[in-house]
Amino acid sequence: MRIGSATVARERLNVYADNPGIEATYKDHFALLTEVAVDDLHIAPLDAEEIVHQILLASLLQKKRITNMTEWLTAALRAAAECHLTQHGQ
Amino acid sequence: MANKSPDSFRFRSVRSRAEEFAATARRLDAERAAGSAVVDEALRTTPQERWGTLAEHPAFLTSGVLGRIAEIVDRELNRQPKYAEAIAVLGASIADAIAPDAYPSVIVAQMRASAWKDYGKVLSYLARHDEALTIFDRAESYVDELTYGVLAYDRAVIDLNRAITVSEMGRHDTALALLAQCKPVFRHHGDRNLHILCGYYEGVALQRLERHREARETYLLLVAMEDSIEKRTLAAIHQTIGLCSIELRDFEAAEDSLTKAIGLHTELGQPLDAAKGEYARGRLLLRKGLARRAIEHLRPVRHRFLVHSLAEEAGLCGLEIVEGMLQIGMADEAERLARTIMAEFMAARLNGRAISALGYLTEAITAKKAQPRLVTQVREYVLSLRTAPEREFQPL
Repeated sequence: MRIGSATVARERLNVYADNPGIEATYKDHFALLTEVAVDDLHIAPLDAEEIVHQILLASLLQKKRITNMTEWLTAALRAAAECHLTQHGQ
Repeated sequence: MANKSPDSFRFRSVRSRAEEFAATARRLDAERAAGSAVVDEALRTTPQERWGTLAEHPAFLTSGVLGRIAEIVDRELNRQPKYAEAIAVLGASIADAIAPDAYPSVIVAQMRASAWKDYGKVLSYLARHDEALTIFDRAESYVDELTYGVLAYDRAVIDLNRAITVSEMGRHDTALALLAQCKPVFRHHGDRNLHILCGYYEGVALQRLERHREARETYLLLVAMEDSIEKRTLAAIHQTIGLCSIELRDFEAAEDSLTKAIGLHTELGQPLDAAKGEYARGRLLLRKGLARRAIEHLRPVRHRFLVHSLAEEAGLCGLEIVEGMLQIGMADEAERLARTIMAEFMAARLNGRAISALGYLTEAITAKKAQPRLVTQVREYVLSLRTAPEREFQPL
């Protein structure tokens, strides 16, 4: 799945909680968020994949506190990217 | 697992990640559903002195159990803080006993960080601030162990608790710096509740630094988000705006805010909080130079506190009355009331330093050397002992 910008990606994100097709939903989110991480936040592809995977996992335990999954995931991704780029001197 | 090298997972397929995610999601849901029954039954049937052994039981080493324990800590903190402490200790023990590879490493880090953060929160509530800060360091260390910084939100929750603690310790500038770090994290993550809570504690820190104008601005910004604020929080915010406005001598705004606060507290069935609003209104009358009206207003308020055995609140309210009496030359009545307050503090076994300060005030009134501002100083000193119980009284 290829998309052009982070804005489009954010609009495509849906709440996956309680979704019976959870793996398929995961794959959609994974692809979109990785796209944002690589294209917009300039993370190397393999690092981006792992960061996105961990963020999606982390969201599971915060499910009760998350009111807007789109906002939460994109904020988590941006914060992680900032931290990652700082660690790598970029 | 926590320090796993990035190279070990660089070539995972999307499919294997999706399978891990789905399995984890289903497992967490199942554990969440079972957690209450497991915990409630065990706490009911196990004597408290043997709770430590629960952390050795495999059925207890789950995210669902930790989730239930967190709920109990939150519920009991304001009711039975020592009980909450025992539960929080159990939670921290369980979090540490969970094997590092029992869940994906990021989930293990979250569970441990959250359980230790809850323990620190209880210690902070019990005014064991130094211990609480050490525990928050430990909570944060689990977040730091991860290869990627993906737990910004979890870290911000720890920092918010740390900010509240250092503010209680009188380190308000440090609190403000911490709040400035975590507030935008909550905003970006769409967590309005914690974002508002950060704003509230910014106001509290500014107020304690006597930066009343900035504190009021901070609270007013929160009121602008009225639709997102629980009524209970809104009532507290209006009350603090009223208190700031009194200090700023903006009496009209103070009256307006206190009226809103008292109305909300009454509507919510919080008579003692409403009485605290009336107490602030009495102080407002005093600041306006209406000492007789202030005394008349505050007497029944003080009585209400006494009926509920709130000796400290009653004493603070009584000191406002003493100040009013001194303003209009009722020195004998002021002396009698100051002695009564001192006796009430002794009967309630309140901080000995507060009793000594009241003794100093009483003697000063007897010797006709007490100015109304000495009463203000004693009142503020008694109030400060809540957060700094070892502080020395240094009279004017």
